[in-house]
Amino acid sequence: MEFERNRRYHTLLTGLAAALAGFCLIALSVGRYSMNPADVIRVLVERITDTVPSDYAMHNVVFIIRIPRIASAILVGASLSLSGAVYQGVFKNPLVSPDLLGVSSGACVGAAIAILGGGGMSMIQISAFAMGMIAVSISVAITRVLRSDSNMALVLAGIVTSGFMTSVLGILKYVADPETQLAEIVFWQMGSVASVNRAQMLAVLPVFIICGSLLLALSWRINILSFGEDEAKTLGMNVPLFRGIVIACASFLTASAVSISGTIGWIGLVIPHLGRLLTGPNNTKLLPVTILLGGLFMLIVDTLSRAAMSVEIPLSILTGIIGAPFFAWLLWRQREAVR
Amino acid sequence: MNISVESLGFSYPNGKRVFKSLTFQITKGRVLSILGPNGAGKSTLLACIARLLMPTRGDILFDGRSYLRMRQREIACAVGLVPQDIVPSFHYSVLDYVVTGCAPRMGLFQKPKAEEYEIAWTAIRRMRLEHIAEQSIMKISGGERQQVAIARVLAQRPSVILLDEPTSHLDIGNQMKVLSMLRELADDGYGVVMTTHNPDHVFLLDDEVAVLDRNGNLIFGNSHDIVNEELLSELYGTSLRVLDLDEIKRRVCIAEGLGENGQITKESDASEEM
Repeated sequence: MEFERNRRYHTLLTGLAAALAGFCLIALSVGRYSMNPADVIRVLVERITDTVPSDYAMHNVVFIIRIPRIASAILVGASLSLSGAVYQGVFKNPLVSPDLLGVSSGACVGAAIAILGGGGMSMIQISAFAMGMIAVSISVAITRVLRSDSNMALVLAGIVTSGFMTSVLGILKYVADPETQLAEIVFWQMGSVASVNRAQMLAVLPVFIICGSLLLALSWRINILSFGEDEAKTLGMNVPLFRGIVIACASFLTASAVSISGTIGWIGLVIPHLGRLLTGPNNTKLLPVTILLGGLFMLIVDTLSRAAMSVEIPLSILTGIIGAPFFAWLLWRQREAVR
Repeated sequence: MNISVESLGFSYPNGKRVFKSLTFQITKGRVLSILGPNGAGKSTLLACIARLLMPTRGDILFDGRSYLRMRQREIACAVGLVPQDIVPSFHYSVLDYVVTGCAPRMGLFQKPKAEEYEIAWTAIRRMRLEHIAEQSIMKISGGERQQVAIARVLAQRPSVILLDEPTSHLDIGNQMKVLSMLRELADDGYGVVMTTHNPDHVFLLDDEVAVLDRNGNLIFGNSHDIVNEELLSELYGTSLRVLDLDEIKRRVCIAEGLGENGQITKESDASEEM
C-alpha cells in the first residue's frame, strides 16, 4: 500500500512539473507580441546552443521581458504557497495565511515609504522587504515582552502589528500626492510582476532557494510541530528554536515575494488546501506539491492578467476573483472535515 | 533505566505553588499510579517528569544523572508521555502519527524510511490497531485515539511511559483494556506511571502508588500498605469504604452513599488541574 501511495505521489509530482513546463511555453508565446510556440522553442535553442539569433525582436521579448516575468510569477506563487502551508502547519490552523505576523502590511509600509521618498523599483523592493521583516520582528518582540512563547501570543502579536502597520500605511497614503504617489502606492498594493526585471528576480532567487530547501528538509518536523507544542517537546524537539527557524524562513519567503510583486492575497491560503486535497496533510509530500501548484497557479493568473484584456489586470484582483470561489469549492469538497 | 524524583517542587510564575517537595522512585517493570483528587497537580507532576514544565525546586535523576543537564532529546529517548487527549488539526493517518514516535532517535533533517515505518507498524500491531492504520486520526473514536497515542509512545522506545489519566474518556470495557495493557507493558520491562483519580484502578493494578493530596503532600509506597479507607476519605473529602471481596480476591472502593455523611464537601469541588 505504501509503495502504491508513493507511486501515485511521484506521478502527481511529475504531472505537475510537466504542466508547469508546458504552461511556461504557452506563457512565453502569448501576449501583445504573440509568437508561435515553435518560434519560442527555436529562440530558446538558439540561446542554449549560442547561435546568432534569427530574430532579434523575438529574442528580446523572450529573454528581456517574458522570462524574468514568468520566473517572477512562479517564484512569487511558489513562495507564498509554501510559506502559507508552513504557517498553517506551525500554527495548527488551516485558515492561516502567510501575512499572519504582519509581513505583508509591513511590506506595504516599506513600499509606501520608498515611493514617498522618490525611490525607484529597487529601492521599493529593498524597503518593502526590510519593513516586512521588521514587522515580523515586532510581532516576535511583543511575545518576548509578554514573556510567552505560545502560538496564541504570536498570533495576537501579529494582529497588533498588522493593525498598526495598516494605520501607518493610512497616514502615508493620506500625506501622499494624490496624483502620482497615492496612485503608485495603491497600484503596488494590488500586486503585479509586470515591471520586474532580471536583476530584481535574481535578487530574491537565493532567498527562495535557501529558505525553500531548508523548509523542505524540515518538512517532517513541521508535521510534529502541527500536533502541538507539548507533543513536539515530548518528542525531544527544541520547540522555540525550531519554530523560530521555520517562521523566519517562511517570513523571508513571503517578504521577498511581496517585495517584487506587491501584496497578492488568497494564494497562500488556497493553494495549501488544494495541495492537502491531493496529497493529504503530511508535509513531506504536501510542501513539494504546494511549491509546484503555487508556481503554476500564479503563472496562469499572471498570463491571464496580461493576455485576457488590452489593459493589465492587477494580480490581487484576479487571485481574489479566482481564489474566493475556488476556496468555496474546496470547502464544499471537504465539508465533512469543516463541519 | 530507573528514575528518582528528588525533592521536586513546582510553582507557577504567579507564585501559586502546586507541590513543594516530592520524593519517589520510578522502577522498571512496575506500574506506579499517581492517585489524587482533581486539582492536586497530578498532570503538572507528569509534565515536570517529561520536562514540559521546569520544576522550580529539586531534581530528577535518570540512572543517577540530573535531568536538568540533559537535552530534551535525551529525555525523550528515556521518557514517553501519553497525553490525556490528542487534538490534531489535520487529517494525518494513524500510521503517519505513530511514526513520529521515532523522532527523538532521528536526525533533524532525516525523514522516516522503511526502518522507521517498520517500528511504527510493530507498535500498531502490538496495540492491535492494524484495521485503522490508514484512517485519519480525526475520524477514530476517543478510545482508539488513546490507543494510538500509546502506540506512538511504543514507537518512541523509552524506558519509562507516563500516561496522563489514560482511562478518563473511556467506558469501563476500554478502561480495563488499557489497564491490562499497562500491566503487560510493565511485565515487558517498561516503567509505567499513570495518573488516576479512581482508587479502584490502584487496587486493580495492585502495585506502587504515589498519593498526592491537594496540599501538595505525597505518600509513596505499595498500594496494599498505604491505601486504606481513612486515607481515601480524607483525600477525596467524602465517606468512602474499602471492602475486601473474597469472590474476586481484591479490594474495592465504593462511596458510602449520598446524604449527610457521603455528601461532597467543599474541598473536593475544585477545578480541573492545569
